[in-house]
Amino acid sequence: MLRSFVIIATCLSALSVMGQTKLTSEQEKQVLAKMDQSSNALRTLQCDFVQSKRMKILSKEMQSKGVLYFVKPDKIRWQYTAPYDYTFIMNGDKVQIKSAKKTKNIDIQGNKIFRQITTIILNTVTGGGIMNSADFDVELFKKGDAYFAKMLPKKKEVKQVYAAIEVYFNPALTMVESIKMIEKSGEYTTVKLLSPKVNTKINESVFKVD
Amino acid sequence: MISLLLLFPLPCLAQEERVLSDSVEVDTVVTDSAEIRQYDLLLEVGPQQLSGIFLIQMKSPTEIIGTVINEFGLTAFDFVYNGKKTKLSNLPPFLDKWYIRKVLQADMSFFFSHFLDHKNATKISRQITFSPDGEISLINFRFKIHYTFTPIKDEI
Repeated sequence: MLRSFVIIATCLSALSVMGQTKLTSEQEKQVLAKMDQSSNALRTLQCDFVQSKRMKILSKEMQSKGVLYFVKPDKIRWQYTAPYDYTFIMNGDKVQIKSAKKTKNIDIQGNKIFRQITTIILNTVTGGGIMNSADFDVELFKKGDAYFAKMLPKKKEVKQVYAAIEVYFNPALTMVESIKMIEKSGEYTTVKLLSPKVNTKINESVFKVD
Repeated sequence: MISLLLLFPLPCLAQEERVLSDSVEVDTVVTDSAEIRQYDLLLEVGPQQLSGIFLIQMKSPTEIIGTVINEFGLTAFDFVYNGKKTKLSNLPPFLDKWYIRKVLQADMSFFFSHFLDHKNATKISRQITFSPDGEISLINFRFKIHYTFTPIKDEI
């Protein structure tokens, strides 16, 4: 009796841990079609975000928050407002990073690492082109009502740091809801996109690179 | 930064310390063993600049643990200071080089050996300065590395 109970309990606990199923190729096609449709319809995005970092060494989750602006195809302002000030602006080939004390401009054409970083940011924020990414192997999963894409890095530079990047979509597959970046050490950072405003007018000045 | 540190894989010399008399009275001395302090970290090596978040926690009166992450959450390294030396761990491969470890560990040890009493100090190779507003500046003269630690309020 006890033995049966242990077996059932083990199976149930394994199911709850997994809680996610890989999509069949047919399901994948349908989900991808919907994702592409949503991604194609997205022209601008403005939202708040909350970032949480789980660290092994400290008994605390580090939290930060900020605002995100995106205009298709390649303008992004990713701005942390608390507890620190830090702004990442991409405008075409130009990237500007503003911290509390310094401002730095980078030309991503001449910087391989930054080219990869900006591609990752664009893909994960919009959810577009994820499956066509040359830099990742991608698998689609369903978890509860929602879907997520698990991106496994192929490039050496990214592979050295990240084990996987998971992009979570809302159940209707119209928006990216959160991004989980899992480091090789097992530590991870989650970014939740909140109060999204889609296809509203965004002032060009937010993408100005001085 | 990595390439600049590559140019200086020389061992650090032991130097006699000269503590300056102008200690600064500030209210940022760590007293709560569970408290985690956060600093904006700016690291300048010649013309190169890196920024990140420096988090520390007192585990005991002599042990300090912590981590350095970038603003996007990526870990640069963890550290444990035991009252004498600092040991680094959890470094990504591109930082996990013996010459980088050596410089960072020595700089961190110097930093923590003065962190609790907040007294300005100068050695031949390093200098640490505490400002009344809580900012801490550490200079490694030998390798021309300048660390600036600016306190962050833990509020979002």
